Amino acid sequence: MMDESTELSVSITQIVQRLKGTHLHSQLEKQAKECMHKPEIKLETLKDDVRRLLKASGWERKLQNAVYRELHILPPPGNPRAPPEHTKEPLAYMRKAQLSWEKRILKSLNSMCTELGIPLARKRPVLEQKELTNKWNEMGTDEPDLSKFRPVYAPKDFLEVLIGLRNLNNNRSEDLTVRSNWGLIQVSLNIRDIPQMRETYPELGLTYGQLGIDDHTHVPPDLFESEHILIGKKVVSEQDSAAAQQYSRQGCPTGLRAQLWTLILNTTDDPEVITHYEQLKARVIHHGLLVDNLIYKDVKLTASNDDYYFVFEDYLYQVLLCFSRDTAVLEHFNNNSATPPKSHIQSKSGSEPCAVVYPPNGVIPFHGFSMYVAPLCFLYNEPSKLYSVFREMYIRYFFRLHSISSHPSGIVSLCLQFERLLQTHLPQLFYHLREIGAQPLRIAFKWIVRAFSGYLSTDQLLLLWDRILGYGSLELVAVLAAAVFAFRAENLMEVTSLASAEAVLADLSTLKVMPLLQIFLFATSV
Amino acid sequence: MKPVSFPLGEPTSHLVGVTPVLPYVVQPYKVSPYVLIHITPSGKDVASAAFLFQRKGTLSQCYPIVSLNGFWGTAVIDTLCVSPVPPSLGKGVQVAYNRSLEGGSSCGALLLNENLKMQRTCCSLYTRAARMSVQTIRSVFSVDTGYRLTDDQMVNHFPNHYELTRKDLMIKNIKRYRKDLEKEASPLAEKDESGKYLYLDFVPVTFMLPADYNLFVEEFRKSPSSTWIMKPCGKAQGKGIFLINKLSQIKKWSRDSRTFVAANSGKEAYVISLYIDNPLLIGGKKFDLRLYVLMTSYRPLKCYMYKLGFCRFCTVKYTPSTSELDNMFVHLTNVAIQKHGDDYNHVHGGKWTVSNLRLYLESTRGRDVTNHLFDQIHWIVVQSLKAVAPVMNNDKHCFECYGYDIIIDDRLKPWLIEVNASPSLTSSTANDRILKYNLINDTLNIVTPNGEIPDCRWNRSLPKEALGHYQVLYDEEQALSESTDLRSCSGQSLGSKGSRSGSVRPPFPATWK
Ligand SMILES: Nc1ncnc2c1ncn2[C@@H]1O[C@H](COP(=O)(O)OP(=O)(O)O)[C@@H](O)[C@H]1O
Ligand SMILES: [Mg+2]
Repeated sequence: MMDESTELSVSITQIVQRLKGTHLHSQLEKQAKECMHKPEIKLETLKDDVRRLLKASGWERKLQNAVYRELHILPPPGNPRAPPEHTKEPLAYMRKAQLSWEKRILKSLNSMCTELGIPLARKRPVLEQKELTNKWNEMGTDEPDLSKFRPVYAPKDFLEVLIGLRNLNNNRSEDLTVRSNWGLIQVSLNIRDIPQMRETYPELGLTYGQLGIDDHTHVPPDLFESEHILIGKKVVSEQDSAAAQQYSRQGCPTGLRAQLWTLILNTTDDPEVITHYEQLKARVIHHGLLVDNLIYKDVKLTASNDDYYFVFEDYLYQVLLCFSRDTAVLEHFNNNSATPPKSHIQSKSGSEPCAVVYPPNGVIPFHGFSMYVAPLCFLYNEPSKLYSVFREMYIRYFFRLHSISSHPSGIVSLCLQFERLLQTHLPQLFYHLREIGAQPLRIAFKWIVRAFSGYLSTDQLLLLWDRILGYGSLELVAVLAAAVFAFRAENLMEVTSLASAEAVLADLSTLKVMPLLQIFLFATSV
Repeated sequence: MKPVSFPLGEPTSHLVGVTPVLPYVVQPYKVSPYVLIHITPSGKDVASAAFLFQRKGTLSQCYPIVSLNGFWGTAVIDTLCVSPVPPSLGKGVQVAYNRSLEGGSSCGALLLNENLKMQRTCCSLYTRAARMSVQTIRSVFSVDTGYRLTDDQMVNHFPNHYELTRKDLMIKNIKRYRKDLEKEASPLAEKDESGKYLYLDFVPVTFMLPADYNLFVEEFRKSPSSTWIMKPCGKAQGKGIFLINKLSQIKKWSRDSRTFVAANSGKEAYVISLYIDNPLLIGGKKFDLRLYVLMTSYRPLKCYMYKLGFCRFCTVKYTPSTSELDNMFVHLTNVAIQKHGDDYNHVHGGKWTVSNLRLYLESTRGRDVTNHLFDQIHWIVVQSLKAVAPVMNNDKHCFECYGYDIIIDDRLKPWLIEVNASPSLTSSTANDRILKYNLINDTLNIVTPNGEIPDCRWNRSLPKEALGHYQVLYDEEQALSESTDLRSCSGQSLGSKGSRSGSVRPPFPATWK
């Protein structure tokens, strides 16, 4: 074990290492050099003067924001002598489960490839490249034949794997009480209870103003809203990531959300962001991938039929196709219990096939994947911006929803959290549903995997995601799932089958997220 | 109680006959306590066939059969909503229905007694293809028929609603309204240096054809690169519409149509409007807004805006390129057109709620511009109603639910395209069905509050809770009393939260009429 100060210095070294050689680094250098020619710089106080000027010109803030971003994606500190995969995921049985899951989906992808006789990747003929360039903005119209393609997996396949998780070392321990056996998740992880969460989420408390709650008991809503908007404008003008994140905990006003989220995620509008996006687009145009068909199919099956998102169909193709080519996404595997999948591809000269990461970003899309992007289309109509916000959301949060790990925002913890909350606070309901063969997690899992995208109305979903960004955690997704059950408990107590329980919970588009969360966290007796 | 019927002359215009309604099974709908059922005729001989309750499109479940023999004429019933009769009226159900005819649709409501025999009509909303309804509705009020509506009968049209809902007459009335304001030296009639109205320029420049042909040619020559849209005055659902960008096209049309007109001895009048070629695009596609406005009185003006309007999207990407001028899937947003496109999706039907639009615009463009846009939209609706108020026969038995078509351009300026007296009440999707159901229900609840037998002498000032998804758009009486009491001109806009009734903010702070 390391002590705090060594941990800190390790982190600092890591961050310095990562920022070295970035665009920001060279720009800072350039700015500092330019400062030298200014009359107010004195040789004797050179260091301080340069620092002062960089601060005044806003460059210091940019550096701070960059460091703040690194802190979010910094791998957890581990024993420097431990192998890297142990830092990614400390629990051996989790690592093993993730590994075998990866093998399974990769096999399924490869067999689809052989079955259909479609190569994993191919260079497009020039004519096709031209065509694609022309219809880049309307890829939805000319539909390839997708009937043969099936999603590699659906959330319910993944749920089966999670249900099967066992910690073999822990078999005889007292940990697994009768109570925890009620649910489907059979491993034990550290999960916060309601009193602990009240401390973690004080801003959601009954005495705080919240966007998304119209009838505050303590604060007149209109007053709070106009005040909150004023503060929001200030936060935006200060360009401070940390302040924006704190602010988002009480909700972002619709008119400022797009700017606040880019600030929190530190996805700048630098020209290099646009260049990067254009490069990815060129890669899409040059090469076709098998996964492209999976992406098309997924968009067609989900967003294209969705009352909220159908108008954005073409944005989704653009973003997701570019995403699959983006090797910068690979970086998040430092943090992820998963490892990028490798496949064998015939190299140009017809020599030995070589193993490469496939798809190039290391992420195999599954059924519903496009719903991670869809809500963001309401905020950004500039494809490169939409892209960079989505990518950052993915590498910070969304990947955790489909990788097996013990991380508190990981899918296993969320499922367990959900089951624990229901079991503890609505034991009768839990028991009843279980008895009729309607395990709550079987219903809630699809919501959790998509962080509720496609289930809530978009305005409500964005209020939820405000808090995910604000607290840098997905935990509230599990809390909301439990709160939904609590809200419909009366009706659920009357159902007698899984199908009718599902019917009661089929339409979540009328729910108001913040009151549900607030009541569940702060008005439940514990 | 004896059934009450509408003595409307020849049988085809019977809205509600005296034929008894046969027993039927009512299946609860999920937004209970009502029942919402779609009916399509099961046979060719519609008049005598039983109607089968059935959902359309992807909703292919069949519902119990109802037999309404002969009762509905040749119409196809699309929607029924049935609610229990208030206890004060004894037992029974109240049925609001909606039927579509060739080129139009209609709806109405009636009370059935315990045995589901018709007791009385509690109100009638009849709408048909524009021409038909113009005639039918006029005949109700015609002195010749010798018929007077009783106090408990309400009709869902104003006798001369066509002053607003015929494309040519609407333009005529708006032009007159502007002139009148100008004469009064109203600040609303202010113009900019180029002679354009600052506030009253909310309909695309339009001419009647053939009457205004010379004026049109003059205007055309001023900006020869513009595109124009030709629309027959008396048609709907995009029928007969085409785009032109050369004078030769109009000449050819007038040659061809003259023979056509002669052959039909009809007066096929057209309007020609400047085509808005820079519509706001979302996802690269053109859309327009369909908003519902309920009018209960023209003098004093009292109208309500329905909160659940929607955007109607084209299925094909928009291009201003003239090579696509004859591709109606690019230019016309009517569902009646779009549903024939290859890319039409039956799940969402190209319909996107106004609240989605609001969320999108506020997120991408900011709150102030978005509020301003919606204030403008509300403002032009009120102006269009004011423009026809002086000529409207404001019969106390009348109310009307209008379908407003509005296009937003890429500078976020809204344009009034047309007003429909018989907005389609058929539903293209599951959500649309709920919307239309709510619309009929909320309309009836304002016109006949508490489901009671209506009384046209009511002064309808309802509490907010009774308005359903409607909100008061403009209440002249209240606006007058407010302006004398307080001279408060800073009423909040309808669009933003905490709206107050009767105050639509004009685009500038001034007294306005
Ligand atoms: N001036 C215009 N500029 C752009 N589009 C128009 C214009 N007028 C009509 N349209 C399009 O054509 C459609 C049909 O026109 P409309 O006047 O509503 O006739 P209809 O009675 O057939 O519905 C509108 O919904 C709109 O999409
Ligand atoms: Mg129309």
